[in-house]
Amino acid sequence: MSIVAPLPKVGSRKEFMDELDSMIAPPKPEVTDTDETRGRPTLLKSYLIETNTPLATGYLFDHTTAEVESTGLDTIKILTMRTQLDSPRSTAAQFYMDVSNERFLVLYTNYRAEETHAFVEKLIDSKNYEFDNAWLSTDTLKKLAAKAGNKHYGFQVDYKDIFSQSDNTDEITPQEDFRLETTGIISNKALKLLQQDPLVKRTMGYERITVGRGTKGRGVLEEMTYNGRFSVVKGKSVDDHVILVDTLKAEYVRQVKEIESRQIYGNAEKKTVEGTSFDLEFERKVEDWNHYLEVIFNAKAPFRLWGIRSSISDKVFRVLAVDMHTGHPVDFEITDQMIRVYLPQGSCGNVILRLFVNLQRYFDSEITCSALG
Amino acid sequence: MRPSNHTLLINAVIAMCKENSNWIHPLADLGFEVRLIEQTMSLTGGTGSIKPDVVVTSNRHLHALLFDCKGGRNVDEKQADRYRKVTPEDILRWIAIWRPERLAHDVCFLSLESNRVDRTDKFKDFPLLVLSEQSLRKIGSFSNSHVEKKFQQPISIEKEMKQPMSYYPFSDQDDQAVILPFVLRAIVAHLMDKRRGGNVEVNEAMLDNEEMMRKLHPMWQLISLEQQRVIRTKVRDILRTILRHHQDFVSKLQGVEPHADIPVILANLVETCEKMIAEEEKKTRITDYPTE
Repeated sequence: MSIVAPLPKVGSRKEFMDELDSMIAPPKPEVTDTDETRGRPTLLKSYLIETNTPLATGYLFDHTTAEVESTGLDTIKILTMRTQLDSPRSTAAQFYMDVSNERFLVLYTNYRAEETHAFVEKLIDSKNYEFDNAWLSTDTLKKLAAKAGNKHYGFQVDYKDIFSQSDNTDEITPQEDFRLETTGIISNKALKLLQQDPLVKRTMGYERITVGRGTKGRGVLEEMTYNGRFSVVKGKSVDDHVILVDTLKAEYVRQVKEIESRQIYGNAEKKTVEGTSFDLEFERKVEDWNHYLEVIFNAKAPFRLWGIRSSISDKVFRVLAVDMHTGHPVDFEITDQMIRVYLPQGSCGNVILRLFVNLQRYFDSEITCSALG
Repeated sequence: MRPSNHTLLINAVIAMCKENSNWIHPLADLGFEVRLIEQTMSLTGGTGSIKPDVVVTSNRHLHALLFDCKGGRNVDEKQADRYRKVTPEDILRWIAIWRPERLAHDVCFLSLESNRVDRTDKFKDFPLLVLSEQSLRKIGSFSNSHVEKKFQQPISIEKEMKQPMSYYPFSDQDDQAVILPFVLRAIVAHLMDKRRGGNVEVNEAMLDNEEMMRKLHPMWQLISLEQQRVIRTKVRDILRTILRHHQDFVSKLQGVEPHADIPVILANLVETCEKMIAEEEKKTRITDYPTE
């Protein structure tokens, strides 16, 4: 499939913002028979992703290509992704890619979400490259909503207990799953009420948050997910969209850097042992240790960790793991109340946030890690 | 993969220098930092050398503590004599400290309660710290008043606290059974490192790669050259055994093709690794493990 309306090159930051503005307020779709001529009718979406290797001009993975072109502006590139090239079912999508931080990239697009989500997922899962999405904890999302100028408008919880063995029972309805979507200014009150129940309280990890910014005339209502996806739901202020994206990006970069400042290694020059471990603490009891460790260390998403495990004593395990995102070793000590992680030099701090956010979503949303503030 | 008593105690000292709400940190409170691990040091005032397990220093109190971690019960009398001859100059040859002319030091023995050293008259002049699951308690005295005060009363270890054991995962004195899992993991990490562009050869040349050795041991750059040589030799022996007797492990890894389903391959590899570790543990007569 060819790109119907290619994203134009931009020669200045203003031209880039003007292009985003046309995405956030698109012209009315043309009424035609085919998808190909219908233009790009959807609203602006952004993705916060991370790469741990310098950006290349092209990528090839899983029957998909990704090309990176210059726009004339150093900090903005155009990313074009195509899949199933020789097939009539071939699809394509384009993104503006903000590379002002060469490691933490933001993709902007108004192609259809079902296509762009799939492309971004493929890019992240590609085996030969070090991409990952951002991992935003419930606290991080809440803090964004509480910042000056922002309004917490709603949230969605989509708790799936992947650690429970209840799927093995004969029940047709999943026993431990919990889905809740609430909007409106009383959603925070609803959250407080729900948190009074000790069981429900542990299932309240945010799938996404809805935040309003600005006014009806000039503002946005925006959904932001735990994995760094931003979608404009309402409103036409591209400025406010970019403010929300940049604010969350700055906070995520800060968290990753803070984590990486605690990498553990022997500093030969200073003759010191640098770094400290991370303790992730929780109260939920582990029912089946084998299953619990298997889910975390099976090398698959969402944890993307592989490990050799051993039992040290009753309810104390040690796991020598490898982070599949970068291939770095990571050491774990696991008890019934805590997961202690040792991040070695050179490894990506994202591994701690990935572990934390996914335990929050799938195991115990009340999990804490003092180092993450 | 359980560390030896000796390694467990080295980790206890390192962790006591790190602020952590889930482990006691009296040394961090006094500003102590780990400076040397298992470094052999020649003595200015006499023949011979010492090899304290951990040396920590505090710029705040201008003091050094030389820890000897005792996995077993005995203290060698000659070793104790050599420790008596250590001077600040011996320490300062290896580490820089603020106002070196005022540096003082203590040699301290550290032992597990379950396997406590016999504190005979031969070394009663050294302070001894005894670590149990419930507390850290001192016998004898430190020369520095701040250190002495800090350890005056037993330091309680709460039930929820778990001792960190992975800052220093193994020592050159550990058996092959202890080191093997780290070698297996380092090989997998090395081959999965996406920056390496698909080089999937498992061979002895891997060990010449400093990056590989850093993946094997996080303190690689801090430990002595002497220790690096011993560890490299042990790892080479382990790797030779893997290449000779565990071709299934090697072929599973080397067979990884660009579009292979890596999670599935790695899932199958776990079982192979665990089998190899179990075999090695059976072969080793492990005498230094904690008895709980």
